[in-house]
Amino acid sequence: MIELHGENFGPASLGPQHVLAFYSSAYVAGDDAGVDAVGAAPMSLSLIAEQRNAIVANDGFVYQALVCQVPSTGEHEIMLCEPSAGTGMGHHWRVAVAGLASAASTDTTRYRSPMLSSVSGPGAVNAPTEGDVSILLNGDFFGPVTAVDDEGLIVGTAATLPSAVYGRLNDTHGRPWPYFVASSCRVVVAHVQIECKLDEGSGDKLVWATTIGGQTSGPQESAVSSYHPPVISLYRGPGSMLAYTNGSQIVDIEGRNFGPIGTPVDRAVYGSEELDVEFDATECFVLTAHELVRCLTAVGAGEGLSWRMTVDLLNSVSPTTSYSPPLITAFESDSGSLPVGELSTDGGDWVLIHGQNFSVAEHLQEVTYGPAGIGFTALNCSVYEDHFTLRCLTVPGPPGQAMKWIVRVGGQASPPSASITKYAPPRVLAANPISGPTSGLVTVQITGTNLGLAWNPAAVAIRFNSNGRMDNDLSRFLRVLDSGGLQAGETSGIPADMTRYLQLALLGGEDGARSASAIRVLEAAGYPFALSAYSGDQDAADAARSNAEATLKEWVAGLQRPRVADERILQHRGLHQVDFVLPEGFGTDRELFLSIGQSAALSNVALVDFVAPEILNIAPDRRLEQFGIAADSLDAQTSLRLIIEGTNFCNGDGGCGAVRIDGLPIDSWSWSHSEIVVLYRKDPSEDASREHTV
Amino acid sequence: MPPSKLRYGAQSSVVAAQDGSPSLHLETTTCVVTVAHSEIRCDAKQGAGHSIVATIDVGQQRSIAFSNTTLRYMRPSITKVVMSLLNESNPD
Repeated sequence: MIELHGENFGPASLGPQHVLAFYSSAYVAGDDAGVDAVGAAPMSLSLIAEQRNAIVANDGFVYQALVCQVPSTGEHEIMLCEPSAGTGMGHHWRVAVAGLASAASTDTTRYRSPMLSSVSGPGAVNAPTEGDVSILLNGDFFGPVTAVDDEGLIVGTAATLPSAVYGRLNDTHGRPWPYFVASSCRVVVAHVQIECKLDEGSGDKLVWATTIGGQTSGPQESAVSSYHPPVISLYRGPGSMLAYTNGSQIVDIEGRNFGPIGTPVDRAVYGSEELDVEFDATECFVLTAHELVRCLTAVGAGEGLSWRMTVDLLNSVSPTTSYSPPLITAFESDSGSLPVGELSTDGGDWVLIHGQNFSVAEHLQEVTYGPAGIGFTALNCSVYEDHFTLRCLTVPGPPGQAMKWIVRVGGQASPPSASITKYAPPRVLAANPISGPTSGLVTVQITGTNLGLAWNPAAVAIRFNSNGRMDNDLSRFLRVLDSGGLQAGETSGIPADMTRYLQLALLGGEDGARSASAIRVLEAAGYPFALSAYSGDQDAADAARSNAEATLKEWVAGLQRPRVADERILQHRGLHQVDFVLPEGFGTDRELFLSIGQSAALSNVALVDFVAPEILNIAPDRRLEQFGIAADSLDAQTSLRLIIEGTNFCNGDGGCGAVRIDGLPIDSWSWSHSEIVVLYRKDPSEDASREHTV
Repeated sequence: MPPSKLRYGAQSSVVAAQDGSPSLHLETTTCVVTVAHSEIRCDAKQGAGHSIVATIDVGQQRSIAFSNTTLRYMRPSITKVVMSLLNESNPD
């Protein structure tokens, strides 16, 4: 949480939609762009958005805090903000309070520097010197996943994209560190894994570093890769057969992994163990990148001479043969009817892995899975059908997240599977009690499935729309979808705001059921936008999805986040329980759902009611205190201060309640959950109605 | 002298333009007539925002909203940012 100190942040009663904060390294201290010269015009969100686009275009990036609030203990002077996931340093902050923007702060913040711990993947060990092979950089603080477009091209700016370099520390050939620059780097697993393509190169003990948002990990000696040693396969040229004994004849050595042109050929020797002779070739160099080294013969004699070379400190090896690496093609559940897209977050499900080249039991080494194929290690793996099928047991994992798998057989790893498995999304079965007082403070017990408690109990967070924020088409539509109430051909219940409806329909690539349900309805209803999106108008679909994500993110960010009780109970496999203390609120059908893990898997929506207000007593104020009005200016004959006592009046913030007498609204002097004081200017007639709404 | 009261709040259209959540948030404060019949002085309540219009209640009569000149609170300013090292992951 970031704590901003300043002035004019407003009262604590401002809703989160009116308290916004932005931060960027592109801001300059004191920068008040978006506010006119006399400061009379507010900086609207649209202006901020324009500015964000301008800064992004200028190789900067503006982050928006997820949610901010002015605490009651620091009204007007303190703002608490939850930052977004991100990277970088030198971020100046700006706030917008009820549409009024501040200048950029002098103080700055930064994210943690990236921390690199290891490298893995096809490019980590014995990579071909041609490069262009994938290598995975593992560590932490890498920031959110890098966006890619439909063609797989990386989307971003230098301010947000990761980069990586590598080389040998203290290189005996005098090359500086870093000497090689990886390409096409992107964060593939939020915060913890970057994928890059290797540069062409040579050598081993190559130490890596990564830079994100202007911050570097520095060279990490635990993150080391190597290129493949040179492989000699054939000799050609006049010096290769019946050469003159006086030397200086050309020998062309063909093979692989000789490195790019300019790679140092440290030594080339040839000889015969049988004859116990060895000769040093001279003037060796890489003639054709990676494939051909040319040398001159030395003075010598003999036959049956074979060559050895040392290229960039790597000794040559004999040509080798290989088996095909394993390849995963499909998954199948072996735990009853449970689909592989809905594995229990408690683990313990058997999965059949279909593919090729899995060999036999003695060569099976390891099976891992995760968003990029690593992170979780499957248990009790065995070869179910030689060469073609493996059987493994899952471990506890995060709900709703797509998992690719990697099989390691005989030292070879499969590429991350194209098919995926998924842990089931979190599902709330019940909330108890389902209603509480507007003052909150009662413990609500949520039971559900796949809440990820066996994986990471601390990852469970509550989202609660306690004050009816944006109680509109968005939330209603979510409810309808979650209830499964919409079917093809059904059009009742479709909100008038079709834009938002369509946005939601297109949301949820990760949630096929919800999306599919919506699409069925929309197609049946004949809405052309939906049809265009699903008949090839990718731009329209992308725009809708982007808008939908922003809408949903903004809505979720503005919700209450009640603290989850320390005790989280895994009642038995499959049934989870978390408790939280109900915050203040009002109204009925308030959405309650869970957000789990960094991927923020959202559960279905449960509805919680606040108890309706009840007036227990109305009495005139007999204390004769003229609250805020001079006593001698009050006409005692026509004005009456009333004290309304009761329960569940809400806390009075943000217009949560209203008092009406004879159908007309009346102002309140004070308001709490159990008492409201109003000034009524005329004694109600005998048949006057009194209405109190919360 | 009858009691007078100032009611003021943001124009709903303006607020809606900012963040899409239309609201008309009315605050009331008490006032003192400083020049008979023509001038009153009021203390603003705590708040935030801009494009605020006012109405005045005198006795049981309410004026029309005065929107030729709107009110605004002062712009926020940041003097200090605490906890300068962000954990890059969303701490949830």
